[in-house]
Amino acid sequence: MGVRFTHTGRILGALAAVFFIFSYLYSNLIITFAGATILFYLMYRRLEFDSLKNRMELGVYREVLEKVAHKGSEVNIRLEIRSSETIGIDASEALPRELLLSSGDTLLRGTVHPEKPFSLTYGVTPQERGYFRYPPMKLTIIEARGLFTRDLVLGPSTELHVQASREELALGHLMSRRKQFNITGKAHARYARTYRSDFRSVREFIPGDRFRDIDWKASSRLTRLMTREFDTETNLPSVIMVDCSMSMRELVRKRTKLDHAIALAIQIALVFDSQSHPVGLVSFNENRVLDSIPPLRGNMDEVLISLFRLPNPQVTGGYPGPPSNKAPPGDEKSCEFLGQVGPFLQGSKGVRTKPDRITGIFDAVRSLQESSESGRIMILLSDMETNQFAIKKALSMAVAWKHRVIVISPFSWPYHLQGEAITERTMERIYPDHLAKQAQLGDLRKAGVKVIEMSLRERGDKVMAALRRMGQ
Amino acid sequence: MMRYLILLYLGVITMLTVDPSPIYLAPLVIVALSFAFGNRWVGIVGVLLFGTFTLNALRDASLSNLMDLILYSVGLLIPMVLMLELVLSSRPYRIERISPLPLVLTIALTCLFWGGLLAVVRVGRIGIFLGSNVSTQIFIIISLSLLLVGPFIISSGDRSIQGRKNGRDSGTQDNNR
Repeated sequence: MGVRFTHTGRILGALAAVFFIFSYLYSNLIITFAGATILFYLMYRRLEFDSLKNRMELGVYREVLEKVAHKGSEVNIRLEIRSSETIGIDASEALPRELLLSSGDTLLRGTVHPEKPFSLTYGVTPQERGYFRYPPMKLTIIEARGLFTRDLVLGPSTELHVQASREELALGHLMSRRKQFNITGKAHARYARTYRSDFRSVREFIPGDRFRDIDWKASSRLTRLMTREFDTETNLPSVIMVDCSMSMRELVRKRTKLDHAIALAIQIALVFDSQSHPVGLVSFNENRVLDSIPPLRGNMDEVLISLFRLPNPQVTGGYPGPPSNKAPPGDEKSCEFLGQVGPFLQGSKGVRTKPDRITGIFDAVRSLQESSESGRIMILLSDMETNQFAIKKALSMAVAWKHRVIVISPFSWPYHLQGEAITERTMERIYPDHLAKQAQLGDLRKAGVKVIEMSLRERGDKVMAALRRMGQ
Repeated sequence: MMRYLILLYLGVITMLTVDPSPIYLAPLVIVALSFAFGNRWVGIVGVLLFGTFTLNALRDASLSNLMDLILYSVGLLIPMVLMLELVLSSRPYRIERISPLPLVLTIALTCLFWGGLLAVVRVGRIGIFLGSNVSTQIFIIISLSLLLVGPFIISSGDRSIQGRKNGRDSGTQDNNR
């Protein structure tokens, strides 16, 4: 990271050395002085360069020209280098791995003037959704005469927030105009708003029926009071729960299950919102709730922003990814320790903490119960590979609280095998996983949870159709 | 304009004090061409040739004749370094761009260099100096200049760069709304 000689600097140094040797060989004192003068000149330039380095203020500024950066769409970034002194620079912008250079050039070579910053504009195409951090820029500053250079690292780095692709959002808006989702039947929510929809039948008047429900024509024809009956539809508060654990964030062929889940969540949320169902969102990871938005009318923007802010995809070691916890972690001693320490952590001495209670899914269901009453629709988007031991218990608890629980669950293998030939050996590995998954889903069905198995290319409309069937 | 005036001055001095032969003026023509076409490498070659040819012709200078040395230094060496500076410099000087500390330090070290030489000459005159032959004098000048200049040129220059040179940026691009 120190100061280095450029080619010109080296040549000048060599020139002084040549003068010294020449003068010694030919006994010429003047040439010796010439060599010494060049050395003094080099020293002066070096001191001047050090002084310049210490007094100048150099800064890198990046600006995203688009208001929103979407996955798969080109984003123009304006890079500007400002300096309080005139200085030569030579650098190349290092892009995060997830951004692909699509237009322009990222080479920075030229002179920065205080009154005229060095700027360039280039286009990148984000390949993934998430937050992407530009690494600190490695910059080489060049001395005014081109004799010395020095490497600098300019930080801190810039963060670019890439959201779901435009196609997913457009599909969500299209679905919200065309698809309908109505809940009929008994609602457990105390303050659920019901609407009359289709005419069902005419029956005899019962005291207590509303006056306006009397069918006067039928009453005059039959000479007794008749009442019209209608189907009722309910607007239930709905909460979309998104599992952001490592297995969901596992990056496979530039795509994660979480990306798929986000796309579905956007589409479901937009359809629900268009049908006046209050929509909320709970995102959670392995251990805790990340973000929680209560189901209220008109908070669709918050839900979308929260979906956009979900954690980044992660590159893992490949399938089966991180070890899934089929059994609670730890031995008896650690469970005992957790039981003793947990009440103090949670602030209530009456509750003994168990391993399944410190999982993200459990925390999510509990937070939902604390913030709202029963009778909600809970839509869980999870591959159910993390904290398997806690999922059934947490969802059974939600069912017991009279929530309508719907699980939309992808299966990991299709994401990994996309476009690949399936060998016999692979099949032998897939089959036990498939059986285990089906057993897990079967357990959930028995517990009163409705399950939608999500395939690789599942789009929102099919999921909505399944949801509609379950909403009856 | 300044660069061509320096060339003219050096040409006249060379013709008057060294030799009016065109071989001594040829390097200056090369430097003039580098000025005209903006190629610094040609200019460096010209300076190298000028230094070798012209200064080689001045063989009678010695530390015993300090007056001659000072005259040659002021009359030829300093303009030669100015010419080198003009070859390397892409744009003209401005007084506000020159920081005082490096200049003061360089002048102080130059004074120290000359003081050292005078001390050597003084010692030579009282008979301790090694016969005061030219080769020894050259050796002493080289040693003294390397001793004074070397540490500054070779040092890494990492004294106060940390912390201050951390650039800024526009931070997180809050482009999510």
